[in-house]
Amino acid sequence: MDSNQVKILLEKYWQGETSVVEESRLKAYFRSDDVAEELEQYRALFQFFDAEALIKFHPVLKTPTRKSNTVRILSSAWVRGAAAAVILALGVYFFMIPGQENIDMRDVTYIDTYESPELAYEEAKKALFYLSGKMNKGVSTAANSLDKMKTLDEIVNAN
Amino acid sequence: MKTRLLIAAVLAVFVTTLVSAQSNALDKFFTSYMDDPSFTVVTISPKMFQMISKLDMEDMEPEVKDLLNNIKGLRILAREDYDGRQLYNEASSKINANEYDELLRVRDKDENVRIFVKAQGDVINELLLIVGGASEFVMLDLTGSIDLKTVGKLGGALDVPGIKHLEKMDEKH
Repeated sequence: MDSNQVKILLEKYWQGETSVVEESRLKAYFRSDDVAEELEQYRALFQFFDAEALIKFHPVLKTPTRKSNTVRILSSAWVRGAAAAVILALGVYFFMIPGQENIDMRDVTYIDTYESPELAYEEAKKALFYLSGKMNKGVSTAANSLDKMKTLDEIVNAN
Repeated sequence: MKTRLLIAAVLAVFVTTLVSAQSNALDKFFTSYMDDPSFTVVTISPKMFQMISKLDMEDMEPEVKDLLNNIKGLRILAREDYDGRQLYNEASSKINANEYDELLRVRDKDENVRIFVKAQGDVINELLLIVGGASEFVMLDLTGSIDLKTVGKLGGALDVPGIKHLEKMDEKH
């Protein structure tokens, strides 16, 4: 195969149009010793393809001798028990949260001060009025400051 | 297997206690002072509120009765003739900002007032009032659904200035 033929084949090769036979002819040419000087630059490429083709896959499979520590810890009954406990506790916690209104009757702070509902009523009423007073105090304090600002505003506008 | 279950149960109780202890710093505060005789303590349980709702007395204000029908618990911790400002600060520091929204805060020359609410949507489930003045400390904790507008109106009977402003404020909502 002379160098002109090779060049034509190479051109086809770059275009991806060579057949399997043509490709093996190209490979054989570059494997041979009489490669034209102008085509010398491609020799390395085809040699590389040859070398790559020789590599065979040798799967390296290690036989696990024993389980790693992480796996052993996770699978230990203790940890599984503890994880279950944490999940259970979280479940209980989040379940209780929306029901904040459900006051725990055993709570020491909810032992009744009064035995008669009449007295309890009077005290609760007093508490509500007290709360109302404080709420209104806050609002009136805010309102007073607003009034002061208004006067200031009037003074500024008058001038 | 039985031991494992037992361990799980013990851990569950332990963790739950830890978690609930954390959220109830305020309860702890209350409990730590309720046995002190210099404090006035008032507690009304849900059971008592149930009895109150069945009461039929002659001079009951309908607004008060309506409010109390929806309230499930009341706790008051108070101390008079005592500089309440330190206790006020202590109580304020126990309030978990994630749980409560601050409704109002007033600070004037003789006392500090803070009102916190625990709300789910528009419904208020708990209200906490803390007052700390030069001569008193009051902590009032109301549980149950609380209608703030009606509470605000109660003061009208006492002719407290500012009521009309509150009504205006509520209409905006």
